[in-house]
Amino acid sequence: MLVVNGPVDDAGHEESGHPERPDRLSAALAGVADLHLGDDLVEVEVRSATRAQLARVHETSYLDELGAFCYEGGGDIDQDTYATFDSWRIAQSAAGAGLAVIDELRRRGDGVGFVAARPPGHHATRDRAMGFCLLNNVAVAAAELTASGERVLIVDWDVHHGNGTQSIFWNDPHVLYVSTHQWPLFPGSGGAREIGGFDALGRTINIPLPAGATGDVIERAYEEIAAPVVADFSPTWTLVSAGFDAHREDPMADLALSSGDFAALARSVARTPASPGRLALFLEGGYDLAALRESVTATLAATLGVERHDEERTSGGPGADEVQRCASERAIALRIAHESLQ
Amino acid sequence: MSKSDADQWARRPYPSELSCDVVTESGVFLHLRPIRPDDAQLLVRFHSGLSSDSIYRRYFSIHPELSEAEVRHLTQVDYVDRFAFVVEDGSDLVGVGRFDRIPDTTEAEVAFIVADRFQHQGIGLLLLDHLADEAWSLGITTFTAETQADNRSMMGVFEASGFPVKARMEDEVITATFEIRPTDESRASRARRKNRIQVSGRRRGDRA
Repeated sequence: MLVVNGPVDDAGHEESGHPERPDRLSAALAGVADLHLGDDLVEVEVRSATRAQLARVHETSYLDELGAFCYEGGGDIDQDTYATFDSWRIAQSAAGAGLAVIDELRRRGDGVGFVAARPPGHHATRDRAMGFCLLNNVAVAAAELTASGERVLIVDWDVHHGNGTQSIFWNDPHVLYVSTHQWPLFPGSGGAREIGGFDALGRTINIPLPAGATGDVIERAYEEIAAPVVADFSPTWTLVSAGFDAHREDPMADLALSSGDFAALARSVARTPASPGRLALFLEGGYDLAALRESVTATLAATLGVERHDEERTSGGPGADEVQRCASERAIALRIAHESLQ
Repeated sequence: MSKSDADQWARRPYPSELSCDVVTESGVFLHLRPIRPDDAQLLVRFHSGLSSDSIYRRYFSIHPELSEAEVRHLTQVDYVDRFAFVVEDGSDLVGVGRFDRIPDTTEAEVAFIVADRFQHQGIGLLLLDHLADEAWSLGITTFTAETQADNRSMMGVFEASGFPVKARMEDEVITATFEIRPTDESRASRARRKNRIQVSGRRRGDRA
């Protein structure tokens, strides 16, 4: 059973020539349609996230500024990030889409969620829009869950580091944030030594990878660095910041994954939650439309256990050394942090 | 309510020259004119036909019925510091827009409300255009409006007007402020809209 949000009217969030464009959402939804799930596809109505829900992860002053900026007609927020008159409404809907999917999963106690909405969210910090992101959709959903006592694992396999999500939960022991990303690359954060604040030491895992890294490298990194911490953390929910810009065809970055690699990652993530009905994937980046569509299909099929012939998995790229270095740097950072606490 | 009552409130004669006929994109003929004291019954009927959502957006509260005092206040304007236009479909009101000057300033609060079935047809913009023209000629330079943060329709009207809107959001209330001096952009915006809602070249006043 796949639970997807109903339409988010995102047409008004567009800037001429900008890669974060409405076609992306159409491609992702085409990827869902390609699964031909029939009655196993459930669509839930989207309501806008409320101010209280957004305020769990964003400063209210930021929400006010963003809303006012949009209602003044919008414009460029920074070199990468734009907002239009309609962006405030659309971003609220995108955040609400995640909440609607989570609600439905909770009601059913079964199924996998996919949040097909834009703009993406994982770069948005408590008080700043950046990296095409206005409101942090996955963080809004995670905060809704932790507010009712859940322990939330966020896996972020977008090619960029999710600096916003990391910073929002930096000191929150109820959220484990795991990111694989190309480095160096925008936004520049996500080093192995970034391990979480003093109240949540080790609850942030960063695995920076060099350009050209292939699926086998990422998978090994998850197994060796993340899996033991995840097992110890024992999440009750798993949310995925599912960007598909680590695909080798993506124009924005230089990792070398195939859609088959995303499927493999999805299979290992799908094994994580303590019980069914507690896994939701949120669309983040992914700018090659064909790769995005195919990757969405492969990923969701893997989480649902649907058999299909995926693109071949990739291997042999660089990064094995970096993963080893990452493990030791992380261990050192943890030791130093613990010593400084004593 | 007779005309003479109206005159007690008015600080200038009823400006009938501001009336005009309009036709919406869907081909409905409407009439726009300044409000009159004897619109009280029409206004009460108009208000009772609004959805609770529309009322909430206009008044920030559940406000199913207007009191007598409110009706008097809304229909008896002085046409100088307090002004309102109504839009009629035959004998029904389908929209009301008004401004109230903030005493001793060149600023006025603006508000409008359109019947649910006539929303998204350019009537809000029509009202805003006419209110802005009249306010500007009366020495008002700036409009302000308060609305809920999710009232995209009203903010959309301001945005589409071509006036340079400054917005401030606080606790889910958005305050929009804009100078109503005609600008190239506001003129261009009006020119574009001629296709959507046509104002007949002849104003009622011309016939008198």
